[in-house]
Amino acid sequence: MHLCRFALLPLCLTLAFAPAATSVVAQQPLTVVAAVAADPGHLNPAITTGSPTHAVADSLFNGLVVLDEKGEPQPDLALRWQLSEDGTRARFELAPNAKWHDGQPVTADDVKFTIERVLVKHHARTRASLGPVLDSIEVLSPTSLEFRLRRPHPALIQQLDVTEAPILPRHVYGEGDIETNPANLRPVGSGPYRFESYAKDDRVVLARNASYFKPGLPKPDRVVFRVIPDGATQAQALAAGEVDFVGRVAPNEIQRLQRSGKVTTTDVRFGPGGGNCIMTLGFNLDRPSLQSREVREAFAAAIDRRQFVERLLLDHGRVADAPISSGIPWAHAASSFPASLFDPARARMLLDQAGLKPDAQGVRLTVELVQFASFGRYADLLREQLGAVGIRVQPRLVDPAAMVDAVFRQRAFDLTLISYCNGTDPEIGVNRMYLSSNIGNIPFSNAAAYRNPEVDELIAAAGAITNRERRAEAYRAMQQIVVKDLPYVWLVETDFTAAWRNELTGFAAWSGQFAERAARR
Amino acid sequence: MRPDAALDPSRRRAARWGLALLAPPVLLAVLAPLFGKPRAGPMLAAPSLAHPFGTDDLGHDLLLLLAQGARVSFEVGGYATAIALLLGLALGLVAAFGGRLADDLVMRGAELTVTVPPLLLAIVLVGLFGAGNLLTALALGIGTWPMVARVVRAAAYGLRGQPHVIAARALGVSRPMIALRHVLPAILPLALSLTGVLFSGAVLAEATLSFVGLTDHTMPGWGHIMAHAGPYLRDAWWLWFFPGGLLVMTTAGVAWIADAA
Amino acid sequence: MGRYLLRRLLQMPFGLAVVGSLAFLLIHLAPGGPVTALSGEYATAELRQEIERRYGLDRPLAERYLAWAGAVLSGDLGRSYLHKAPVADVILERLPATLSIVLPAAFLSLLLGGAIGLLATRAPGAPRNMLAPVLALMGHMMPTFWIAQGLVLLFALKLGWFPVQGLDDPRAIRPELGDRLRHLVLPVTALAIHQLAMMALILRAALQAEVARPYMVTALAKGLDFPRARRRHALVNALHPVLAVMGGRIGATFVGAIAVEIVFALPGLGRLIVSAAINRDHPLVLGIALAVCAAAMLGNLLTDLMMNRFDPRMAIDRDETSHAA
Repeated sequence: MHLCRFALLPLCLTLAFAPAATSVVAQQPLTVVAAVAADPGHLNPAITTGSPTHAVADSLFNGLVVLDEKGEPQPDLALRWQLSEDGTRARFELAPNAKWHDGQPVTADDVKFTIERVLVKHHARTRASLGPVLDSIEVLSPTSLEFRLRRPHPALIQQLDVTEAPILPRHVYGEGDIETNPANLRPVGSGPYRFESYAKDDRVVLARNASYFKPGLPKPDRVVFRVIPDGATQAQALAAGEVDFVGRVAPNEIQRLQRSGKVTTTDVRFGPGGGNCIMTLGFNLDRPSLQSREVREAFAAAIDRRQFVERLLLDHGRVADAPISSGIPWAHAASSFPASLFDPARARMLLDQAGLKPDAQGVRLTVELVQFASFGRYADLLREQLGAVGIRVQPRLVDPAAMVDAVFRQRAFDLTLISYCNGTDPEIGVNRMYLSSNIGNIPFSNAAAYRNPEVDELIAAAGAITNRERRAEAYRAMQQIVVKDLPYVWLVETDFTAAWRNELTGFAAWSGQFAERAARR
Repeated sequence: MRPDAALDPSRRRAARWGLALLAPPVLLAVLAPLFGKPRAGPMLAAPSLAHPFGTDDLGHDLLLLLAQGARVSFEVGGYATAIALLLGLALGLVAAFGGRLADDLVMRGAELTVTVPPLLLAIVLVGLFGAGNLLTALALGIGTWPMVARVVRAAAYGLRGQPHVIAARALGVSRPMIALRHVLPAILPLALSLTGVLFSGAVLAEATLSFVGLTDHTMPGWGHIMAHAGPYLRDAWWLWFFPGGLLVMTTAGVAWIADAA
Repeated sequence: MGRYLLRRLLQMPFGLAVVGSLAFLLIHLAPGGPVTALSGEYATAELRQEIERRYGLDRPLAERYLAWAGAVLSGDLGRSYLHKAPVADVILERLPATLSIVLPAAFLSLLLGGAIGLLATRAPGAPRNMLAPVLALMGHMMPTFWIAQGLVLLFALKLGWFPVQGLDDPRAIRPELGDRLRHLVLPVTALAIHQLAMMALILRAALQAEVARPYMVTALAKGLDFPRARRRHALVNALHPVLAVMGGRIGATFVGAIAVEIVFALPGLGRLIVSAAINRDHPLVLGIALAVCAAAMLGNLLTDLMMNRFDPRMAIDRDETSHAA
């Protein structure tokens, strides 16, 4: 350990500064430092469902409602709401004192603009669920409006929170192409925090919105999101007090953090990217080699999903044994896609039948897997398991912005790995993966480009019924079909664990606006 | 090769140490195909008889992973060294025997090349063309040829005054012929003595590229293994210790052997 | 001497032109063609069209080259598709983080490497010591990221003396010197260890040559003890090659910073070029590479000019020595 001796010299010189630095920090106004795993790329939560953007931007905006810990809607921008008897109209009263960060009032017109012109076009989940149902939004007065629906939409209120339906100011985002609007990088919202600065790959700084419409909120003076790509570094920084809050703790760090005694952890089903998430492998069905159902079945048979639970999630999750998450138990078709499908011999046989014989190196097929760099270990395990049956996987690990462009704009991929969050109702997060109307340049929509009229119909039918039993039937039928068609391989359901330093309290880890009520203990 | 190399005992000792250091990684690389594909075992198991180097977070036997990684390192290191030697020898001889203009061009080219760090060149090429071991080797070879060319040129200049070269010239042997027949054999050992620096530099550069994720992910190198050691630094020292140790053994071993040659 | 200086000064733009031409060649060889290389693999259709319009990709090659070269010379390195901003702006934004570890590391390696090199120099005829070879092994053969991980393990995780990551405490409203320094210690040390071995070896080699010279013999004969003579007389002369090498190592130092920035999650240029390469943001990759090359050439030129000014022995054609590294 020669290096210690040489390292020590400069270290000791600066050690003297250490105590001084910490004592100054303690007397400052409260700044909450949250670690995020990936650079958000942009800060407009209405045009993506990506969690890197939502983790930061949800604190800048409001929905019409906010979901409490049990998932029940509570007032946010809307003070109250009322559904008509037949379920096709919903009336909302907005908080009259809500203001945008530039001082303009939040109006019903802003809501109409955001939902009709932005969300049902660019937000994959809201587009797939609300898009086909929404007839129009009528502005009744500056602070009241009415949703007019083509048919009843059971999940409506639940999906009007900041994660599913953040409301944007029309006077800022209304002009030109929303995807290239400069405000995506300098957002103006109505939320508890206003934007201060954004240094890519480094940090986003938000400052307390002093004229927030909810009295006494938010409590912390600033929230700083620090980009720390490595999960271990995040956890280490949390334990060392450099960071206050980690929204998604890496599974292998949970136990250690709990043991450290310095940190509070809590399991959450929801988070800024949505809830009930299934890590999903998507096939690009535009690629001729992947159009054969047998080939896709071979992929499914070659993947041992129990290993993902055991080795990557460390049991903080389970095998996804149906296309819809077990977190929506009434719609979940249990065991329709069981872990026992793992059968490498069958995978080899299917590939043989498809005419994909191994070459001299044992390779039958080479596929490119485009995915977030933060899911890197999944790529390693997939490469190994698929490699065992002769499918050579070339992972391309990229940042969220590049992944969205590669997969949804250019469709330049064979396989992609996406954490599809189902939400509290299949309407919210499931439909978007399968509807043929949801193919194209919409982030985290139907990545496979899967088209099946039968499935389109079943989804439409399920949305049109209010009776939960009959909705469940339609969803079960839908799941049987997609399991047979296999546009995706549903790998594992992931649980999230959030953690924060014991010195602080009041985090709403299940919500996008997690820091609104945080305070020193 | 220095004439007294074989006689100097301290050099011989250095060479023996170098060989001892280099043997294990070479052995690993040679034996890698026999080991077969890594299979899942217990996760993060400490070194034991069943897993001499322990296992990683996915339950892979670290020894097998490192054996595969050794092949990547030696492949990239070998190709890069060969490319640098070939380019350097050719251009060095051209500079020495090709006349004033050729000399100037080659030497300016060399000056220019050394301002571009080989690793930077590799990142640019990988960024533009996609990751691959051969491309990496090519970039590293192109980035290091001046080191060889300068030595070759200087030595060849020295040889121009040697009696046998003067004699050949007087007999009307063409300049390229003199360069190949009479000069090349004499300076080849000198050029080869740079193998150590070139090879260890390339192995280190490959490890860095694979650490940051800019190599072919289908063949994980030592750097990739070390990048994934990060999360387990506190519990699984072996994930940090063995790959780095092997890397240092390789680079130091090669450097010492070459230094003694 | 005047002619040498003139040539040296002219070499810089010439060198840049060659490097630039090679970059232009690469752009045209890249898969997907020049438009992709100039806009990034996943760029939007609008950006691609704009590139086509600007460089007139239907026009002859020479014309396109001039258009491109003109843009680069005026500081326009294109637009980063990932950052949605001019490449030059992105680079300038990231430069401070890189400089804040590279400059202290260079200083530290000069100081410590110098001290070690000085102490390792033996009097003529004294026995060979092993310090230098061991140092070479240590610093030069260990990958920087491995050293960095080791430092984190020991000093941040086990001992808790220094922060695990970052350049500052985001809770501080105003930058504080003490906080900054605490964050810099580990990354700078990791980077310096790599550099200081090189420094020590070069200085030792230069000193070893100096101490054998007649003036040293005279000094020793006059009764000066060896360490003092070594420090007073030989060191001054031996510093020149060290400085020359330092100037030539700007590129190498930058490359060393890449791994350090990644291990410590620092928002610097090294992490930027890796992320740009991974995300196929071609203009950004080329822009950073060109900027680093230009900086390296400038560094070379400045050290060369300095040496020329201060050391008359260097006034001859120095082709052979200027880049020996």
